[in-house]
Amino acid sequence: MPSVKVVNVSKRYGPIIALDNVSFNVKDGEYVCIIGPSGSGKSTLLKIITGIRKPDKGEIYIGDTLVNDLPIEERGIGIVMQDILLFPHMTLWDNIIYGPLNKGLGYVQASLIGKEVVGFMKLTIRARAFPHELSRGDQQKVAIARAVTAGARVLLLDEPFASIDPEAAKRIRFELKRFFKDLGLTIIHVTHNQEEALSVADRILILRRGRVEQFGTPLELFTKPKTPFIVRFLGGEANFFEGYVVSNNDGYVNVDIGLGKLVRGEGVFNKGEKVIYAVRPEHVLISCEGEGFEAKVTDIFLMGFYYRVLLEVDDFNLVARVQRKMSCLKKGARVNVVFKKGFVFPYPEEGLDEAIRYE
Amino acid sequence: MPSIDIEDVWKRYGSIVALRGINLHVDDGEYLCLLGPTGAGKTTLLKIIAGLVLQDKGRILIDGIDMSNIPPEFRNTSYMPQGYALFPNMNVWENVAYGAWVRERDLKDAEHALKIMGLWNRRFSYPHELSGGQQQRIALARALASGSKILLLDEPLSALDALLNLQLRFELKKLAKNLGLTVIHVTHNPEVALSIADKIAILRKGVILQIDEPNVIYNRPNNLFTANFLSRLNIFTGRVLGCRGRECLFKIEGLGEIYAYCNYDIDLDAVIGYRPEDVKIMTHGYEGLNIFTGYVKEISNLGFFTRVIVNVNEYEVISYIWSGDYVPSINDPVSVVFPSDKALVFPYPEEGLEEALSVE
Repeated sequence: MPSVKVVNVSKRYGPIIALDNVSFNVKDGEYVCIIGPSGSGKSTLLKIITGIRKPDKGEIYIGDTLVNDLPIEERGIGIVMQDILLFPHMTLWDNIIYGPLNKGLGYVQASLIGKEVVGFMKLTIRARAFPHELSRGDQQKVAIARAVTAGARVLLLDEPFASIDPEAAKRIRFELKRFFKDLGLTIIHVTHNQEEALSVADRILILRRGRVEQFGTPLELFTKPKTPFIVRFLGGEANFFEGYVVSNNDGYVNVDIGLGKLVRGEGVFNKGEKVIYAVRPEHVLISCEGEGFEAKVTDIFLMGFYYRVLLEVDDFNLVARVQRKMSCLKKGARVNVVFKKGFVFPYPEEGLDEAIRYE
Repeated sequence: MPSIDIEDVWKRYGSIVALRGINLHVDDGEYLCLLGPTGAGKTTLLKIIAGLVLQDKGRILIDGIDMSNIPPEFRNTSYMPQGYALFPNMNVWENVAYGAWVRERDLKDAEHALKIMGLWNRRFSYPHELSGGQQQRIALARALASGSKILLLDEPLSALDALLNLQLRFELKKLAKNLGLTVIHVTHNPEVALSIADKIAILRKGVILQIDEPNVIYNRPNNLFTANFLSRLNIFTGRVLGCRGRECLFKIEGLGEIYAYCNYDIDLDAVIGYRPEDVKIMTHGYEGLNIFTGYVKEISNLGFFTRVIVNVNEYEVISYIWSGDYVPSINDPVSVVFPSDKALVFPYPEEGLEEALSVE
């Protein structure tokens, strides 16, 4: 039962707090991605789970076993890193069956295990080739096969696609996810690439300054972002406003954000309280004529399958995303703008710059 | 008035032909993105324009003047290589101001460029004290402030995280326009090219396949490779059963029959491509032309859109569903619509489908 449990883990490097009381559970067979800005503690956390580093405080469980004092090789985990660490002087096949052989299994039995894993992965490689004869993407697949044949039921992936051609990486990540699910492996995958995390993870852990900012499914992170930082970190661009609560009832507040009209959002705040509003670009709805704020279109960019639209409302700049270009959507045109119901997120005021800062 | 003309440029490295007869015109003040996969010859072409690599054949004209055999320092171009090549012994400000200082020009462009890149407060740091992304921004500021009227940028945004990449690409374009620069920007990222280029040139295996404005490249690609490179298509191969004008009926093995609009003459065999956003997913039960029943296999929420994979007969079809539109649940039966006017139809490639799409 390879679940992973991290309980109240803290780690300091001198005066720097790398991890501050981090707790989370990864279920058996779950695919969890860890993301966060550089310096947020992702690598430290992974190193502590693997056993490369020891936490100052807290416990790590794999299954029901407390592994704090177990060495790496006894934790039953496989590690795959950005730098592909295949044995360069061994053929691919010898790499793949290295684990079982090393455990004392005979060649025949090791080969059976190797064949099974290669079959599951649908790896089409020449077994007698050497690692350098493969593309980096295929090398990484072999590295994963090696970790699995060695008996790992939990795989820790540290930026596994960072050194692979981005287009190839997109293809491989979906193939691998299916493979992991078919075998029922538990995966913890650290990445700096939000899109990668969103497309493969069952749940995503977002770290910031050594703390868990939020842990949830991609859908939860988008529909119920806990902080303005989440809105910005996951969605890329977003609109942020500061405003005052003018009225409140039933879990909703009306806020004056200085656009001349009140904006309604979900949340419990006191009258007069200062709040931050976050609205994602796709929730800025543009119409040719209708309700809402009057806005001027200042620029339109084709981004592929959608358009990025810059708008001006009085002194405010807004950014919007639209999939189709309506007839009125031209540079300099006047349009109407509303924020999509249920997607205006209010947060307690803590200084806007501070709230969304990356570092 | 720096326009650039490239005439029939060839380059060979041993047995590998890197460029095969490149012809390209860049207008004065134009922002051109050179887009293509790794190994297409993008960097080689950029270096030839800069004068750092000599072509085997062909001419480079700047402002109509033949520069083919002129050394780099007299071409008045500013080249930003992928590896930044900052001066390690100079601080940030000295690096950025170097070009203007050598040319004895006003330093205010350098100051402005560094401020735009958000690194004015790091001006006294040295390159080794900065992250890769910061170093890249310094190199970009230096190129912008060099005083050259031609900017040759090799993947200038590649080391930046998604948000910074997005913000800085628009700043870069704006600054280039304000300074009246002619820019060739090499990238492998279609989104970057589409969002900022005046024109895009698609380069593959040393050949330019198409040069057009972004919306033309995206909506009316003139070849299969370009169409698929800009966003991965759902691809079907089919046989023409009959045409009325430009609208043809295709038989697709393992799927069924599809009506599709063709821009090109098709003899018999065709490739029919659909962008993921053009495949519509509706609740089950619709019938009609180009509508098929499928079962939802995978759903990934990617923020402002949802990526859905649907099994339709023998195919796995990818659809992007815009935020707010109907999203089915996993294993649901759904109706999948392939609008006939959204099809990208090309003759079946002589070299075979895999070869025609390959990015190697």
